Amino acid sequence: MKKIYVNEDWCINCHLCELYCSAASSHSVDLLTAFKKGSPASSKIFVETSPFVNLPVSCRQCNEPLCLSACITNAITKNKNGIVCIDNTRCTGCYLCVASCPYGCIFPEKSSSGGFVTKCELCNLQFDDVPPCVKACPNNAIVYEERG
Amino acid sequence: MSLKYLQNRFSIIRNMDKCISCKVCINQCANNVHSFNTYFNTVISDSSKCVNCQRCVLLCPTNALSIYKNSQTDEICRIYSLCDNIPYFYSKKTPSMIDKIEINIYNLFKYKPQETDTSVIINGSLKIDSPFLISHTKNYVSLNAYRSMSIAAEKSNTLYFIPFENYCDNLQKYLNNAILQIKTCDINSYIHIIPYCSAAVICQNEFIPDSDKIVELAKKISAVTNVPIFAKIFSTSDIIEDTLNLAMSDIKTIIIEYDIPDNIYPAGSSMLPELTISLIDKNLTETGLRKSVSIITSGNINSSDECFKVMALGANAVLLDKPVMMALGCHQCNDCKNLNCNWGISTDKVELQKRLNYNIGAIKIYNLLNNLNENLKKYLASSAALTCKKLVGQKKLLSGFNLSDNEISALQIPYIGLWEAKKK
Repeated sequence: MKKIYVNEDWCINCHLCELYCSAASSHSVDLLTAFKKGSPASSKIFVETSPFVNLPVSCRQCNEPLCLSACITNAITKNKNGIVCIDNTRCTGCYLCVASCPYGCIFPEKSSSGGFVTKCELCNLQFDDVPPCVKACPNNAIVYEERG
Repeated sequence: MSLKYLQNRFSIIRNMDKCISCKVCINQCANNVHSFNTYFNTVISDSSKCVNCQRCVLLCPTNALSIYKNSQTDEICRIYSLCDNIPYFYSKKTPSMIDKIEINIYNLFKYKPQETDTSVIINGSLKIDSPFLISHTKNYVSLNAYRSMSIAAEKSNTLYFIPFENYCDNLQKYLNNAILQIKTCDINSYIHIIPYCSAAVICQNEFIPDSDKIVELAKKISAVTNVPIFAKIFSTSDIIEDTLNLAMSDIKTIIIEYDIPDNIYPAGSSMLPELTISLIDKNLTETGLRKSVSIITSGNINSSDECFKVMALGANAVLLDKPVMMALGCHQCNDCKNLNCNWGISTDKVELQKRLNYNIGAIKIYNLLNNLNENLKKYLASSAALTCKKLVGQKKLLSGFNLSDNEISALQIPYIGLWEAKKK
């Protein structure tokens, strides 16, 4: 399965991945309208910054997800492609998944649209497509590939 | 920048309708031009610190920024269009629509494009696929830039230059296609590196002032290793005697440099590239040494028609310096004097060096070389010389290039065809 991987040597702390992620999940035409008209959805990738290293983190689509076992209403499931998804109709907003994720990759949703929490679901990609955060990275720090 | 200019050389224009306060410009600027104003809740920019590296303009997600300057930018834009165009055989895509149409036209009219060959042999035995060698203009270039140059040189089978002052142990893996530039007479400091390189070049400078000294040093080096040794000399009034002197000795490749430092010769003592090459070619053919010597020229060669012109006048290969730097991201802002390059090319700061991913740089240099080579093939196919070997020294091919009478007489280009009738 193809996943998003990060090479922290090349991350230049520009935060463009966060911008394009929130624009892509806002269902707007482009980035400008997403940010200028209405509130954009919160980003599903987050760049951890420190003086020594910058590391963009997003959901790792774990084989045995802790958020899935923590969910009390079975709102979090793993679909046939191996992507961990959230069913917004079942979610009650208890935030147990936010607390249980060891990587801190499930975020409370800030905008009014959508559910209570949000996480990276690889943008429901078609077969040969690339996620917008990978496309936006100017230095190829984020890659979308298959690793053993 | 430490000093502020009295009048801003560049002005940053921020379109407030488009700015979304994402702070990308603040994060990536090495000169602290942009800052966030908490009172107005907007990002503001201080034009006086701007060096026109164009990095914020390129990274801005909504195209809200633009930088205006006075000098022309056409040349820069043209070279960027060359290196951003990824050819299909590198990215393993299927042939594009235009290629298919071209093939169909050839089938329709039973017309075959003439086969051209751009491979060049320098120094008698070193074969390279195109007459372009990779060089650089800056004094200090980071490790990642050399890595991308070496990867591009290996992929397109050419050579790249690396000065001995910039050499560090991390580069030892990347020396397969390298030419080591030597500027001192102290052999023991660099003799252990030369066997890893494909050639070494002795540069003329204040320690090695004339061609006799170069020949003497080359004999010392060739006694220890059998790596080919080139010579790099300045194009002053003594250049013809120097080239003949070098050609008589064992040195078979001569590189001509036009950018002369002021401390050796007075300013403005360099000759024009076209004139220098045609004079050297004429003198070498008269003495019968032309076939054993190969001439490589630098001198601001930015396009394939300039390369065609210089090769027709007598050069065997050319150095690309400015276009290679621009392929890596250089926008000619001259902030490299402070080793503060925003693009991570000519800098010693680790956080700025990170910005140059050597894989991206290698792809861009490879594309640049490839596109220049394709253009050169078109020039070769349209002229009578179909290969680069036949092109060298064929001055009469330049008579169709719309040169003025003064240029034709100065370069001693023979009149042919209608031109001859016109002259009578």
